[in-house]
Amino acid sequence: MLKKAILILAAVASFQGFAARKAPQFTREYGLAGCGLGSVIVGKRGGQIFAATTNNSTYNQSLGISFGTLNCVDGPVAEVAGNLDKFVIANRATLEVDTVKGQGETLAAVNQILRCQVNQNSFNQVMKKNYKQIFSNQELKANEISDNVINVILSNDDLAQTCTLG
Amino acid sequence: MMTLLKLALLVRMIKSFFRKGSSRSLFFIFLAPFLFTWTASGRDLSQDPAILEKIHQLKLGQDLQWRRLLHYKESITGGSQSQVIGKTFFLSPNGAVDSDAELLATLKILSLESEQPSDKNDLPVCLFPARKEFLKIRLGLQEQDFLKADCALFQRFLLSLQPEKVSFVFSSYFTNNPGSAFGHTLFRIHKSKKSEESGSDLLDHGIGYAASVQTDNPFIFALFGIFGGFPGEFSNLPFYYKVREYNDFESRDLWDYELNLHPDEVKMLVYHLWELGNTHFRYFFFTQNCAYHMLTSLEAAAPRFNLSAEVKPWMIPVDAINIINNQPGLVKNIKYRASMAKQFYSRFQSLEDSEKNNFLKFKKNLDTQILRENHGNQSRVKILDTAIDYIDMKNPDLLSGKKNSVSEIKQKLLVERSEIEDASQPIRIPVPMEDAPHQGHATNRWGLLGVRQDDISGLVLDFRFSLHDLLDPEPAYLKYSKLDFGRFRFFSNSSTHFKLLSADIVNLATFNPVNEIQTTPSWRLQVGARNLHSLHEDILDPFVEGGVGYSYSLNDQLIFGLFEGGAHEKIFFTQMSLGVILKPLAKLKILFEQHWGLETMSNKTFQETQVEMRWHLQPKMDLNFEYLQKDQWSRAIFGGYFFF
Repeated sequence: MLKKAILILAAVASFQGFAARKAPQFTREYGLAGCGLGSVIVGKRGGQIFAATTNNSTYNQSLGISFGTLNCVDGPVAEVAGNLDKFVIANRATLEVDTVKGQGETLAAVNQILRCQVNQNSFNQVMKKNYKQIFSNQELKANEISDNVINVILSNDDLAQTCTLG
Repeated sequence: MMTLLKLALLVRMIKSFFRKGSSRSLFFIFLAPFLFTWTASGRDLSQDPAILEKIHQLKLGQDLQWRRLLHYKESITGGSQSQVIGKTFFLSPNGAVDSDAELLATLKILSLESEQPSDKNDLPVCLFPARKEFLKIRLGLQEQDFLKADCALFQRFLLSLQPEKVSFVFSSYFTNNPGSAFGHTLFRIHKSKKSEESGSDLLDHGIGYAASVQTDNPFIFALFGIFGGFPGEFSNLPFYYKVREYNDFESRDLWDYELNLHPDEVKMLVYHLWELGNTHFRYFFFTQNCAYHMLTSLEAAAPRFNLSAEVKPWMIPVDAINIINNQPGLVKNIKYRASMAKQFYSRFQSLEDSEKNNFLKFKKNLDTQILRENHGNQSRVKILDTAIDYIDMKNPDLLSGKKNSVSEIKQKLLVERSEIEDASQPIRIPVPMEDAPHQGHATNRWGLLGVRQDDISGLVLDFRFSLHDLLDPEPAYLKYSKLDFGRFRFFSNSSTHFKLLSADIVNLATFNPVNEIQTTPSWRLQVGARNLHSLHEDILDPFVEGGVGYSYSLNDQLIFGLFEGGAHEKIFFTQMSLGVILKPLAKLKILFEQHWGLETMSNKTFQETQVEMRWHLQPKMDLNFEYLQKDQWSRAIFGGYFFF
């Protein structure tokens, strides 16, 4: 009896969990720590006048943003979701503006990352149409936005055929 | 000999493996280490007589490209030494001064397994791919002659870059900052794409050299920056970080000079940058700065170009652009990325009058309701796009996700915009080629002028280390800005052989014309020492003066008013300055200023009139006339300025 109850409870719980889950999550290989624009561009050092005259391009070296760093640099093409995360974390504001306008360079970049061999205009239209689904609220993290983008693409019949997400 | 032995052993082991009743597991344990060392190369290339002979014949240790890969530089005393500071860059103990020894050590360590460090992630054969490539080509070696290793990090680096072409990128000036015209340079490594139309430059990689700065103190910053107190390092990031930083955050134009390199030169450059990425130099702001080491790494990869030899004793980033651009056949084409500010102004200028008014009404107190006025979809799209760009331009912090009161307004704008189905038209900004960084005047300036003051006349020798004057030729510099850094004037005549008239440490000014969008104040600052008396006197007084005010421009003529204060020697003063900068002809500029001042201690008033006329005779030469009238004396100067 108890066993049955537990089973039913478990079933109900998992069903609720499933319904509450927004969309399937895609696996990533590396985290995004320190890759946001705010951490990479940490603000000019030494005062404003000197700042512009110097070539110390502001990277916070202690974060290890150097040559071999894996975090913020795109990886092998197969890591599509991870690469999209890295793009979104640094270009989020611009991507949102381009999406809302239905035009812009970041949309071409997303097209390239997702390896969608589609006409840019069609891609832009789909993104613009689904603006509210992609940027559903201001608190979304980069990987959540990526997930939303990927899901929007996959739910579009035309794009889903040619977008090889690896 | 060793190989034959190992082969024999292996055959025996295989035979015994198939023999019944033998202890297979034991043999495998025995076999394993042999197999491992057998697949790795065991040959010490630096002991091979044929290779040594070739090295001797080619004098390979003194080869130009080899020494460039090691970043050797001749010093004034006649010797030469590598400019690389990082110890791990050298594989021989004297590698920083002995390029022959470094060559042999490299050959040995890249081929002999027993010489490897304990940490397998730092295998030299993975850290020095450019040297390996050089040795392969010049000594006719093959891949299998070298130590075999996975080099996972290096492979990942190559895969994320997919290098095809290279550009030399320059970020130019931005408003309200006269020094920003020094600029910054970096490489853009183009990713190979399926076609030119597909994809975006954003996903290319930006590799640049910069000082690693850990201080916020402006004095330490200046001191260390000038005298080499900071390490200089290369870094690698997706190009979009650079676009966000320069184009959006700082509102600077990006000029992209695509280089005409052979595919193997591109490969060599990328390989060499990997080598440099793991070490560091000493950073010198005026000599070995970001642009300098881009030139040295470029000429190491493509030795047919001689770039660092063209560098004057001191250089700033824009000098590198001129060196690149003047090399026959090096620059293929020039691309332009307009700053956020330019994009905004372009949108704003393309609005109809009624649309402009609507936007300006919104701008007043950022009331988004105003943008809902009925204008028809197309108009609303243009106005909203302009408003969004305006918010982005004025609030670059929003880019990094910071939230402030303006973020809500931006959200409202985005939601409004999303509800209109029409897509925006891309803005087309014509490339302002006449303002490109290579069109700018050279930064050092000499002057030879004649002076007359009352009964004294003589010669004036003027020297300016950098950068730009209000009346210097405009292209590539922030308009109506001035930065004199290290400006000296000497006087000479038959009785006074040589004396210093003035020495300016720094002399800054920027006049920001007020318009319907911006009301930024104008300001200036001068610090130095001046002979403020007649030429009879020899006194050089310390001098500080600064002021704030506003300026306005109409049809390329500027009028300004400043309230200033300062001290010369121990005399404090305040003054009102009113002036104009006129441009009656394309090549003729006139500055006229009137000061009304008060010496605060003595309550003595004074007046001063300054006139300066400049005629751009030739790209490297200006004619200059100055007139200065003070209460007690007046002075006129006439002569030529030479830019080099």
